[in-house]
Amino acid sequence: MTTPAAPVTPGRRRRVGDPSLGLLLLLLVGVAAPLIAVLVRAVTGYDGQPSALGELADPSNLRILTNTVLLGAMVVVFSTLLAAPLAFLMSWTTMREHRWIDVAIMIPFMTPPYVASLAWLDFTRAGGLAEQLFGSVGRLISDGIHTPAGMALIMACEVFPFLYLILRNYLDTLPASSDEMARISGASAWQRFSRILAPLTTSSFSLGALIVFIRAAGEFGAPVTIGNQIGFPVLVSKVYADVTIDPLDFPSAAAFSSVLLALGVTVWGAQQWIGRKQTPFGGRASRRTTVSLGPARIAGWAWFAAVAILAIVIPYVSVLLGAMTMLRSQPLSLNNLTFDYFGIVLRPDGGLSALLNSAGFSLVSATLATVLGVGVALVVAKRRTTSARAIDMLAVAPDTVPAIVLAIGFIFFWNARWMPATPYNTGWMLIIAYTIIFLPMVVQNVKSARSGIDDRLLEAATMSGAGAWASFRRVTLPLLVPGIVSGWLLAFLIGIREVVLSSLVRPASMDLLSPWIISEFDQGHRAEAMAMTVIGVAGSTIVLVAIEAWRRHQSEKRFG
Amino acid sequence: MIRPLIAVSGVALTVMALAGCGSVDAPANAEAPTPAAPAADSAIAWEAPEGLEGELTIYSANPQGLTDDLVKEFSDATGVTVNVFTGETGKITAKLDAEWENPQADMVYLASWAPASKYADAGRTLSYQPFGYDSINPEWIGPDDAFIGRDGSALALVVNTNVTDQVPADWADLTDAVYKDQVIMPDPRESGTARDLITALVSSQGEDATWELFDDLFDNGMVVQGANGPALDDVTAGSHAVVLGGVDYSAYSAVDKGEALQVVLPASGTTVSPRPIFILKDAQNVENAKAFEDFMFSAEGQAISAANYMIPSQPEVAVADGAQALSDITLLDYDLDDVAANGADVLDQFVERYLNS
Repeated sequence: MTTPAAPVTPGRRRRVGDPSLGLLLLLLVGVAAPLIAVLVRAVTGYDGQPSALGELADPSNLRILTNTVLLGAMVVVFSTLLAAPLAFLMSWTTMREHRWIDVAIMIPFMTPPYVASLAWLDFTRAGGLAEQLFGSVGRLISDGIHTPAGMALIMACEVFPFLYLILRNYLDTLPASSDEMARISGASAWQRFSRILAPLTTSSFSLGALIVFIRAAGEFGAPVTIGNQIGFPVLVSKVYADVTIDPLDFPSAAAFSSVLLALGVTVWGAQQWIGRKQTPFGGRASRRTTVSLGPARIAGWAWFAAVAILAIVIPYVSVLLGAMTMLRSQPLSLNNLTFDYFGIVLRPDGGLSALLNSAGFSLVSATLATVLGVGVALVVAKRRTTSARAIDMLAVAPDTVPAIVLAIGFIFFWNARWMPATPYNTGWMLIIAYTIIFLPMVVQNVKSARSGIDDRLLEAATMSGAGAWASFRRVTLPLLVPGIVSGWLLAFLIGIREVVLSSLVRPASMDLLSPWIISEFDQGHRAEAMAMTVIGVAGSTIVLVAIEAWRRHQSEKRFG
Repeated sequence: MIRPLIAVSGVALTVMALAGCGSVDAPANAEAPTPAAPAADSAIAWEAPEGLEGELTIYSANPQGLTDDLVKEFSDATGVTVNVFTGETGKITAKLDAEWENPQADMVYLASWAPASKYADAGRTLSYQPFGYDSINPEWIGPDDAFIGRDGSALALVVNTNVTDQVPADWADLTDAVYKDQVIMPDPRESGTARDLITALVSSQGEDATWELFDDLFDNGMVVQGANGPALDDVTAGSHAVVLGGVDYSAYSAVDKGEALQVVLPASGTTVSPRPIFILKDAQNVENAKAFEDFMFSAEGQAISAANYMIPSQPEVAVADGAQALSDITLLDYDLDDVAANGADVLDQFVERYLNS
């Protein structure tokens, strides 16, 4: 009996020494510097306002903090309920033949969150569609939405596609043999789930849940609009009030944002601990698992239908009707509907330049973020050094604080007097800002894909004589492609609908999509705003379909 | 193969059916009415100054259409490149505050008095008496000419005439049983004008009378929700009948589009919020900024505001058709600086009394 060789490859560690330092520097300048620039004001005060640390000790803040954690937890639970079954169905069962489901699931992610909130509020308002269609049940739905759980459900509808992508990509890599062995040995379905599927996916799931939680904790839209109405204050409500409502109080906003950052780092630490164990699959070529559902197939379709109604149909009925309504005060009738607004908003002096600008900037920034994200994921994979941990944390940090605080941080840092040369007020500032906020989602996707690659494949490559670059190009990169593509797609879609950084950090006189849509809402041009939303989503869908087709092609080559 | 075909034909048929429905007249919907040309012998008719060049950066918290019209006419006439940055008041003030150590803007055009007052107190503005200064409404001139309101908007009762045919005449009318559960007010935590209204009522009638009025309003089922835009949309869509403290220009714009709304200025008085403009002390393009400010107070600049349903600060320029001139509006008894100073306290009291259920 020979003792198994320890899977240590010191050679590889030496190779990635230098890139890790360069990456660390990049992230320090890109992420840490702006964050520090704004958060330090909590201690030092700003512009004559005193330090706000004393405010944090106020006991009412404990309630706000608890609310925030509760909201984050609820969003994670709802997102899991929405995403996990769908990921399973679309990866391990024959439902995956229906490719349009993948496209449909991404639609809620493409919708700007403020439009989704407006659509829901419109659906549930007194005398709105919910009441007209469902009568008193409609009122129940409305009341249900105006609770913390209802709010969490709406927020989950927007973010669950991200969790879905991570889980589906990971499930695609689980070899069929693990499940089949259990079946042959006589395990029941529940045992196969609880002892094989769930433990294997814990690490990937924790990567996704981390981002879902911190995004929910730092999200502006629904928690402020609905949260204010129902008396459920969260940390973000306070931060936004301090930053946008007179009298402005930057130190207080910075203090509460620091609490959010601390919360994010704590959850990140928990995730690092949860995901610490790696499960090798044996490195052999693997088949994709297929589980036959039998009569339970109906349940699968029913689940998808329920998710689709909740996340797509209800908001989009509101949005489409809004885009076609001429007079808001008149009842719904064919005379009051028109397609003209779609043409109106695409005029050159209308929103066309906003749409093209957003598409262009998102494309460039998503690509940059993906390149950076691959670097980060490779450097931190399976390494526990301090610099690797620091890089990992910095890659996730941009999502922990509200976007407006990050935007102010960018302004403080890049507009500082002592900066010799700065991209501020040029298009490059926008690209840098976008890249930084895309980073968390991209990194998680690539990390999850990386964890699905058994190191023995790389060892085999090295033993066969491949150098570092060849082994990366021909083994690692192709295996990472699903994660890279999902990450790029998510980044691109976020860029198209991003509103805060696009409002604050863009160069003057540059139109971008979401600020344009919001400005139309503010001027009372509701139909134009909704029409442009539909066009933006339609354009994103075309990009999505193209990429999905390519991904399917690649996936078939790999899994057969 | 069959299924996509069916789907596509279904969509095509629907499109053809719907193509038979209404269509939009582009001019009525997209642009504001063209501004009236000023009288030939007007003292404040503008002449574009010669020899201006370079750039000008303006941050504007005002409606995009208004800002774009002003910028276009100025820049066409003088050849100055104007860099415009628009957004909501909150984002503009956040950006300004973040940039204070290295300001990028030359002039700022806000939608409320209080932030401008704060910047003036901090010594960040340039005192300037623009062209046409003598005829500007004196109430709208800030201390030491640090900032001047160039147009204003009034708060009104906006009624959806499809939902109710009872048109109220004053704030107190809304406590009537006819308006039970039919009244919505913008949330003063999100709307600066709503907050100013409450503060002005307190200043004008005293605290007791004001809280008594609001007690009755809330007993009658009044709902407080959303910023100005969503509250007006709520009434336009018919969920409620009246907006208490709706912003006039949005309502006038909707009325002109054909919506079933009516704007009523309360008999006992209301607030008019001047929208100030000021030049930054450290502006890099002071000459261009002064020229733009001159344009803004000239008859042509004021006419553009009137065409966008604002109330001009130059009394000789008429408001849009259907809108109310400043002289016809009854004002509550309040002082702009007091309202700015007391706003936060009154808001806290209001929230504690009514919104912390």
